[in-house]
Amino acid sequence: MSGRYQDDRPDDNRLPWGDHALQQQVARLMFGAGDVPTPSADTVRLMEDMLVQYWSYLAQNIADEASGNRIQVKHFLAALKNDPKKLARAQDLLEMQEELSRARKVDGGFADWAQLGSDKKQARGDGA
Amino acid sequence: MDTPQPQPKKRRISTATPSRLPKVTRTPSSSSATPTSRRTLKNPGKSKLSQTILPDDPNDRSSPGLDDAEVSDLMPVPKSSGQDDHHEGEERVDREDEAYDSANFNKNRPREDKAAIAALMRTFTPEQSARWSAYRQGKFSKESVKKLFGNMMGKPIPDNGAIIAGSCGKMFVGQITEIACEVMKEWGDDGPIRPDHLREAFRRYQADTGQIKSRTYKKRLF
Repeated sequence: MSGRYQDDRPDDNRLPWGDHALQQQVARLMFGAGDVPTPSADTVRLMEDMLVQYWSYLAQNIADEASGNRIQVKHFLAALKNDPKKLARAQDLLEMQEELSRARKVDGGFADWAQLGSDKKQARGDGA
Repeated sequence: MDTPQPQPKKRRISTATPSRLPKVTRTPSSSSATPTSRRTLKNPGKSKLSQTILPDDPNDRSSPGLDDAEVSDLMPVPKSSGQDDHHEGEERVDREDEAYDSANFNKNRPREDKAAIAALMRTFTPEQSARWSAYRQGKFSKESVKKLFGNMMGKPIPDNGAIIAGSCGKMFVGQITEIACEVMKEWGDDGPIRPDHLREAFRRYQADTGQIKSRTYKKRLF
């Protein structure tokens, strides 16, 4: 992390959106949330740094919940108990994942997504 | 089939049987029907769209149902009929990791109003459409989040956990950026967000939510 925000490193060679994939996604999300279409590189780097700080804070809470055992999804949910928005979003995502895995198990479960399903079925030679 | 609580410590497949799963119905939410300003509706706190029709975007790889998971997750994988015993043990372990008590979910949490959002999206200017799809498509891939969290915790994390952590990161970036835009307005600045705005936004986020406090730093009084 040293030397990240110091002025002695030239900015000319940098990609407009930052060095690596994480920063690119961060820059994209910042635009999506209200920044200009190409956020300033310094800002993106700082945002990425703050994001990692937030994630390590989250990881600390998860480790507390897991208290030494293997890490499970319920620990994630317990760690989010003080943040209702993120918790609600996590619950939505888990429900969606359940739907997906249920649809996978049932043959014909992809009837809603006809394009996705029919390709695979034809490949497997099913009559459906 | 109900399992006794607390469960004895033997290896069992996840007990989230279909009968216990909540019926997933998309009910119109009461609060998100008002087409307010673009930025407010992008509030990451509201639930995401799942089945609205997005503007046509050639780069849009997200499926209608899920946009925080990778596309490869959506392809139905034909299960091989003969599984080794060696792998079966690992699969059971993974399923235990993925188990959660969905009965405890808050069923009254606000869901999105897809009709209202779809109606709003028809009124978007190109710039607004670009912003909307940028936020929708931006995500932290499950693999990179798994690696990052695996390193941080020293242990591997389950797949669904990585999805949750990725979505938390996305919401965090969105929240901080929103606060930074407010800060920028208050300070009368314009143009791209500067690191100063971000730092002030982070400070406000910390003050409001009480999160992200360092555990090792103790304030020196003298």
